[in-house]
Amino acid sequence: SSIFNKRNVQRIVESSYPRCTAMEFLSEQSVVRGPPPAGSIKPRPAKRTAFRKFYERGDFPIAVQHDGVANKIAWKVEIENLDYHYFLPLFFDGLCETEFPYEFFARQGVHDLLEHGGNKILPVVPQLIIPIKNALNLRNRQVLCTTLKVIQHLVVSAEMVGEALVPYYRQILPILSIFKHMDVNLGDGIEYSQQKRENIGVLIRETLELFERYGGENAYINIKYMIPTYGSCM
Amino acid sequence: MVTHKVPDLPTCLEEKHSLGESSTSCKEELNTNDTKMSKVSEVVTKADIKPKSMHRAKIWSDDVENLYRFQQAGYRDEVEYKQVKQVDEVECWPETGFVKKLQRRDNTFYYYNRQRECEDKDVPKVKVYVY
Repeated sequence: SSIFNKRNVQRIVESSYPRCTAMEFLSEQSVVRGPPPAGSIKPRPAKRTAFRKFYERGDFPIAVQHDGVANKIAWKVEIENLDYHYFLPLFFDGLCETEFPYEFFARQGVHDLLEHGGNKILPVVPQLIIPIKNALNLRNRQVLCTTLKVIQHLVVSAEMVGEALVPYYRQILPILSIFKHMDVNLGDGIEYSQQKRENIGVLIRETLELFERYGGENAYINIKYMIPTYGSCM
Repeated sequence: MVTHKVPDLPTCLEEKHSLGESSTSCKEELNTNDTKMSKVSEVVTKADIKPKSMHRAKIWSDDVENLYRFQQAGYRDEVEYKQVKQVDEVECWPETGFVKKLQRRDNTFYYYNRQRECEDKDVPKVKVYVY
């Protein structure tokens, strides 16, 4: 009898393709199942943040205004008198939040602190890396957009901040590398999310370009090391 | 900054204003009591200044932007803010001249951006007072 009998083929196939039976392999409509998805772009659940705990306890010098102003928070203390080493990392920690009012206060609070911080921001940059990394690791689209805009603001908020971020590219850029391709090719259609600054691919490219412009001489090579597909803008 | 028609001040107040801004020799002649009295009279007189009319803004401009920021903080305009808070100057961004920080009536602070905040849809909501 031929060695290519049914029993021998069955042994060969099952040893080579343990997840596929011989009958499946031999049938014309058989499809070999691939590996399971890794979930690199799957959103992770957010943990309870320190920002939420401090906000509920009333430790933040912010007051809620119910008089119809939608995008402003009122500060009980002048921002110039705040301890940035204490408050700025806490507000950055709130970037992981997605629920109102935590998300609003974190986003607007970070914006106000960066806008009026001046030279108080640079010494605090190393303490901001872990909150930024936690926010990016959530892989939540909305959190990603907010965090990228915050990073862009941080880079231009004060002098030398861009260069201070260069040693931390290996913490921040891997996530950007995963989502860098998320851009939509509509041909001649209008991409409204780009207009509203919610297109992740475009936001990542803008952020990387700001890193390169404000990061000094070593910025480009460090970005290229982490994201090989990035092209220089200078 | 906000420009508006200021009514003609009485001459005595003008003299007191000019004395307050004059050379040091004039200041040395004034007693502290006199300066306090002049400041009190200035406050009393400024409190009496009320706008004669109001209309809504139609086109955005730097003045409209500043009026928008004052009205967001709960004031009519710069005149009322200086009157209520007893300050001489309002903190502004040096690059654009827009209002940077305001203190509300409940003593909380509002901070504003360097760039324009008043959108086109909010321009008709801005009240422009004429004195």
